[in-house]
Amino acid sequence: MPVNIQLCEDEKRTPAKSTAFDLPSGVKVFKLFTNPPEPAPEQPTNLTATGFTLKLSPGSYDVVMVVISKSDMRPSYVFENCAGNNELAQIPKPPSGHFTLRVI
Amino acid sequence: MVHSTRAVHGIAAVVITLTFVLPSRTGAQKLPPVPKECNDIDEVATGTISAATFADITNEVPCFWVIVPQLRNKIIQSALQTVEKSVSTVQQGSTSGSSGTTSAVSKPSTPLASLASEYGGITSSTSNQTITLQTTLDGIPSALAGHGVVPYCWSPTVTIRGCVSGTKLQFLNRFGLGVTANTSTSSQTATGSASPPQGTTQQASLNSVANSGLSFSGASFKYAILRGKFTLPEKGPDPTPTENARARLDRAFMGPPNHADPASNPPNLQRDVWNEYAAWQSCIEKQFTTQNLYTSDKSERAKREEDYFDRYYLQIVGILFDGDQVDCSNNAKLPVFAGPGRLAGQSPQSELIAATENYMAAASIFEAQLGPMLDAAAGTALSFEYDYNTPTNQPTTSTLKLIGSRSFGSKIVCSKSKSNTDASASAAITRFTGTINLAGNLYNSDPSKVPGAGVFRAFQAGSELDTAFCTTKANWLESFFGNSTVGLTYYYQDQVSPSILKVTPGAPLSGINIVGLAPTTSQVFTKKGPISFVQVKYGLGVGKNVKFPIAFSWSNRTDLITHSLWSAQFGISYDFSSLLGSSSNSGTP
Repeated sequence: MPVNIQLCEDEKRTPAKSTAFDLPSGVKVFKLFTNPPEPAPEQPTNLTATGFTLKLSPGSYDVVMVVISKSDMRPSYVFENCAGNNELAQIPKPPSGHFTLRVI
Repeated sequence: MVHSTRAVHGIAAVVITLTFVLPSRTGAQKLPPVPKECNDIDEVATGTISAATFADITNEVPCFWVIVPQLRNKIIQSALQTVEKSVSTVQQGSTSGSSGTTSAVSKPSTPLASLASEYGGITSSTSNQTITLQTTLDGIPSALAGHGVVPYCWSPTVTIRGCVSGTKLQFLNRFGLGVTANTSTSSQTATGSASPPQGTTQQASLNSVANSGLSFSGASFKYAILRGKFTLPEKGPDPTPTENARARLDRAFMGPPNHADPASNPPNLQRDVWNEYAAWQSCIEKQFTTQNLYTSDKSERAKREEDYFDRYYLQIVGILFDGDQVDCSNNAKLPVFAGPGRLAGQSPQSELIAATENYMAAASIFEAQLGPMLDAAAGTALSFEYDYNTPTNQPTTSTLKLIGSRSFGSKIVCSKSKSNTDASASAAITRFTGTINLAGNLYNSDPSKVPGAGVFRAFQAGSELDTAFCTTKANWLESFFGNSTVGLTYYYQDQVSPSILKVTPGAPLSGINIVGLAPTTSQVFTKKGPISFVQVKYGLGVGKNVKFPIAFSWSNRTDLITHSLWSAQFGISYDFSSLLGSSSNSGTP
């Protein structure tokens, strides 16, 4: 099942304005426990400045996100937007953040 | 079903020589304030970020990097990627006053570094070949930081010894410098007829003028008074090095595949060390609560933050490099670090160090590249320009100019080449850009010996409208124009003081042939009057480093020649900002 991820300005899930995913390839999904880290093929899909979609087979993944930000002082937040307020990551210091996923 | 976990990974340690910063902090009863790189603790206190985020060292690499041995500048060594540049708000070649230029109207922005060769005068009667070198004051330091030759401060809270800061670079970016030299060697002459002499001056009507030889033509200084609206660029620097560095960092601190199985080992860290790291993370979450840290009194809050930071957060160094156990008791004492660390030489710790160094380098360079992009995306709305002109055989002049620019209309995306449809090879630009100039032109010396002449030579006003075209658009007109800009310019100059040609009495300059010139004449002046100038300019090369402007113009007269004439200007410019390691991104055509 595809998972939609959203970059937000705050914890109230306001869409990001001062931060954006670094297009066109600022999100990469790596398979956990691979050495060196091995990217999951063709992931993510539908990457935009404020969102992307993951469609992953069962397994564990490290989702690495690179953002461009007007202000280095402002954290940004990443939510799974199909599951209410499920916060996946906070990015306190640009340019990168991450979260891990286990797909079962 | 998807489960997410955050802040489960381990910790980065930056230990090159194991000359810890910490011993000096812990050796005294009173520790220094919390490093500014660790100021996220205040975000935790105010509830802006969670304690779990703060306890994931992969999110707090700069903090960790400061509380363990300082990195050296040599780690900041990575390659840069090139990106697009803006087109129509950047002065690509010589300014409008030059005798060899394709620009009737000056643009508000100066490229980070560019070289242009142009031919054709606008208001001057001479049409020289010129070469112009331009740069902003931040050009060299930005290039060095973007290439990793010097460290970049990353952000106001992340400083590296000897680093250049983004704030300073932004300030320096406001200043632009340009130097233009004549390079033509033609032997064209000035021809005309002179009126009766008036002392050592004599009025002449010239039919054509040109100059010869390699000479200094002029210099310009530009200051950006007002920047445009600060917006994120369409795309940032290449994220790949940062992504790979981040993945390596995450892996270096990762926990075991099966937390419940004691035999399951983390991919990098020793299992017992990782267990303590996980316990430390839980401890941070337990102790770093808003209840424990927050108070509206900022001074008191800083004391609390410092106390908790010193007693709990700093334990991570001992956990990672000495195999210490976490002390999460409410009366935990300040940690003490003696020696380089029992585990510091082991391979998991070495990988932590290497992964942290790698990430710091990648992230620093990423931010160093992003800074100029943000500046360029903001663009310049209003600039002041000073031009110092040295027209051949004429008195030097100064031009004080106010330049305004605004981009408007829809965004269009131009591919760099027809064969490349990769999104990374495209640049988004704004369809239209309007530019206006208002200027006063002054003689640098008093021309009072010339009848009707004063220091104030001319009032100048110009406007230009540029339209961008892309080949990617399914439109025959755009396909015809290619990736290019087409500009329409109107320029007006009210010349209130006549132009002056300097001649040596009795020995007229080579190539100047004016009928009726008296042997005692040292200055020849022409009829003054308003100049109207219209130009259509085609600039091939949107989103590229190399541009080929070509223009056709009509004017009712020039500074010396009093009849109408058609002319052509053409040139080539190369913006080598990308070669220097930084470049501007396009927000405007």
